[in-house]
Amino acid sequence: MYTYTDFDRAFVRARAAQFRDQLERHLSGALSDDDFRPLRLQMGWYVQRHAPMLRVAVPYGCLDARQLRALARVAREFDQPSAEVYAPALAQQLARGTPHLPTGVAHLSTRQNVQFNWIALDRAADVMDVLAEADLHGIQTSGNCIRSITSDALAGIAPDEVVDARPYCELLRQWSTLNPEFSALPRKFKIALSAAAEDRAALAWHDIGLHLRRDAQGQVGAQVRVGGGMGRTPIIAPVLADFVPWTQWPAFIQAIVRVYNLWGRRDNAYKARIKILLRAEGERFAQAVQAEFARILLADPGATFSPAELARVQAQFAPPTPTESAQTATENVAPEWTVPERRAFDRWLAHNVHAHRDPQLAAVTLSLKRPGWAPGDASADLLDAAADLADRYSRSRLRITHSQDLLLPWVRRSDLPALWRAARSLRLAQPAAGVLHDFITCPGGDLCALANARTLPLAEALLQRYQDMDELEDLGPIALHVSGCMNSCGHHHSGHIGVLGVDKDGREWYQVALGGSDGRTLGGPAQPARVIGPAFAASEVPEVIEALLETYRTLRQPGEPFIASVRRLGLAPFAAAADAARHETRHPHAHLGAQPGAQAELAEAAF
Amino acid sequence: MPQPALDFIAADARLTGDADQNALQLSASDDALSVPLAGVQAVHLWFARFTDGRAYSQAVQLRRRGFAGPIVACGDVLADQALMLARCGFSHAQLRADQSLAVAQRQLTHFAALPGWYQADPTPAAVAHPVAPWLAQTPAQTAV
Repeated sequence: MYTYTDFDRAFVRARAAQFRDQLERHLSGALSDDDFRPLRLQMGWYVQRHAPMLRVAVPYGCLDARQLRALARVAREFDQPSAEVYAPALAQQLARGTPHLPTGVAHLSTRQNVQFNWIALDRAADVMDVLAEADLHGIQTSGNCIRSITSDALAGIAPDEVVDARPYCELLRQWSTLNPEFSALPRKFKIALSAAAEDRAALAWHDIGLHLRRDAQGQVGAQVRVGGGMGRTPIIAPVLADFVPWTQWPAFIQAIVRVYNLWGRRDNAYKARIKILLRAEGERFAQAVQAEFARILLADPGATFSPAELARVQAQFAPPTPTESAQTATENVAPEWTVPERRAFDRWLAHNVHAHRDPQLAAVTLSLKRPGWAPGDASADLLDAAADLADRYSRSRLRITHSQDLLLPWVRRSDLPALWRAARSLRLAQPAAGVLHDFITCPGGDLCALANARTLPLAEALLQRYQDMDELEDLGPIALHVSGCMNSCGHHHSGHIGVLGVDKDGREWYQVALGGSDGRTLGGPAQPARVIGPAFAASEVPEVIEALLETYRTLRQPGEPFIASVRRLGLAPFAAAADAARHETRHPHAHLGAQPGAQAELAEAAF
Repeated sequence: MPQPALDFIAADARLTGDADQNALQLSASDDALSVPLAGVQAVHLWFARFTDGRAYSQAVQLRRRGFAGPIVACGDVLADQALMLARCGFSHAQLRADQSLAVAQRQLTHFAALPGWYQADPTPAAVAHPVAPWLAQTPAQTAV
C-alpha cells in the first residue's frame, strides 16, 4: 500500500486541526447548521437518523493492520451512544420491528470506506485526531466534491492487470485532495479506476470510470467513461475518450469537472449529477471538454503528471516485507483433516481464495456476511482479530472490497490451511465470491436518515435462510443487491437481483428487479436491472427471492448461471413466479402499479 | 510555503471603487473564457450561495488567461472559503456581513506549516512556476 510521506502526514494533521476549528465554532454557536453542513460533510460527518455518521476514507480500499486497529479503537471507544441517544433510537426501531441496533461496530461500505453510526458530534475532532495518528481521515468522503477514489479490490495483485493500478489511484487521490476549484460542485463526484481486464470496480456506474490499458507503443493510458450513476435515474457512463495518456489525466479530468462545475444544474439536487448534464447537452458537453482540455494543455503545464511524480509515488508502494515462512509453517505440516473439514476447506478455496500475480501467493476474502450481523459490519474485537490475521498471514496488509468484505492480499499458498482454520474460528470463512451468500446491502432505514425502508431485517432473513452450502453451490453465482432507498447505496440497479426499499403511506415496500450488471464478466456489460412488477410487502420478499431462485432451478440449462437464464428467458417467467408468492399484495394496489419490465425509474416515479 | 494571500474588504464597501476604475462584474453563468478583458482593471465574481462553486472555476480561467489584476469574491462569501478563494486566484474577498474577519484570516494559516499543496495553484505566482514547489524538496526539508 501507499506509505505516507512526511508531507501527507502533515497534511492530514493540518486538515484535522482545521476541522477542529470548524467544529468548535459550530459547537459554540458561531457557525450555523447551514454554514457548517458542507464543512462537516467534506470531512465525512453526516447527521443521521439517530446520531451523526462518520465515513472514514480508505483510498481505493487499501489499508494495513495498524490502520485496522485504529478503526477498531474508534469502534470500541467512540461508536458508543449514550443512553439518552440509544434508548429512544431503539424504541423507534423496535416499533418498526427491528430488535437490535448494532453499536461499537465499523461498517464497510460498497465504496471501500468505513462508517460509524453512533459517534457524538462533540467528539468528532478527537476522532479525527485518533485517525490522523494512523494516517486516516474523512477528507472528501461526502459532500459535493470529488469523493474518495475507488478501485478493484485486487489492484496491484491481480493476474489480469495491465499495470499496477494503485500508484495511478494515488496520483488521482492527491490531485483531487482539497483541490480548491472543485470544493463546491453541483453534486458529489465519484471516480473509479481499474487496470484489470475484468471490470471489478463498476467503472461504468461512476461519474468518471478510468479503465487502464496500453497503446501500441506500450504507453499507459485510460479509456475514460463519463456520466454514469445510480440513484433515481440509472445511467451507464458512455465512453468520452478511448485513450488518454496517464500524463494528461489531470488536464482531461480537470476539463470534465470544470465544465460540470460551470454547467451542472444547481436548482434541483436530483438533477445535479453529471449524468443529467451529459444527457441534456450530449455532443456539446463533449466538445466543451475537448476544447477546455486543449486550452489546459497549452496554458497550464502544471496540469500534467510527470514521470518523476509517478516514480515518486510508485516508490511509496514498495512490496511489503514477506513474513517468515517458518513462522507459520509448523501449523501447516500434515494437518489432520476430517472429511467434512476437507470438504469445507476445498469450498473455501473455491469461493474465497483468488489468484495472485505471484503464483506462490493468493488473495483471500474474509467474509463479513454472517447471521446475526448486518452485512459489512465488524465489531472492534473482530477488526483486531482480522488485523492479527493480516500481520500473521498477509504481510500486515488488507483490502476492503466492493462487496463489503475484508481481503488479505499477500497470503502464502502454503499458509492457506492454517489461515482457513483461523478464519473459521472467527466466523470469517463463510463462502464469499460466487454464491448468493455474498450480497450487498446499505444500512437502510434502521440507521440512515435517507432510507425509505429497512434492509437489515431482510438481510438477516436471507442470511438465515441460505446457509446450506450444497444448495448455495447448486444455485451458483448470484449478485443480490439491496438498497433502502433510491440513493442506491446498496447498488440495487446493478444486481442480478436488485431489491429497492420504498415508502408509501408510512409502510415499507420493496421493488424487485432482475438482470442488472456491475460490469463483471459474469453479468456482462454494465446495465440496470429491470423491475419485475408492483412492489412487494416486506413479509413477501424472502418468498419472492425463493420463487425467483426456484424458477431458475426449474428452467435453467445445464451449467447456466442465474444471470444467463434471466437474459435468455426474459423477465416474464420470473415475474409470474414472484407474483404467485404474494400473500399481502395479491390484489395489487393501484398506487403500486408498474408493468413488468418497466425501467426502475418509471416505477419509482409512481412514488 | 508563503501563506496564501487574500485581502478582505469590508462588507459595506462600495466595490465599484473610483469612477475611473474599469471593474468587470460577472455573474456565475457568464463565460469567463470569452469575456473581453482589454482595459479591465478588476473582476468581481459573484457567489449567489457559498455552496455554488462556479466562481472558483471562473477565477481559475481568468488567471489562466493571464489576467493579473484584482479578482474579488462577492456575495454569499464565508470566512471558511478564504483558503479556496486564495488558491483559485482570488486576490480579494468581500465577506458576508455576519462573517468574522479574524476567523477568515485564521483560515489562511491552517496549512501554513506545509511546503505546498497537492496541486499547482493557478495564482499568478504559480503561472510563472507551474510545478508545485514542494515536489522538488527532499523529505528532510519538509516541515511537519
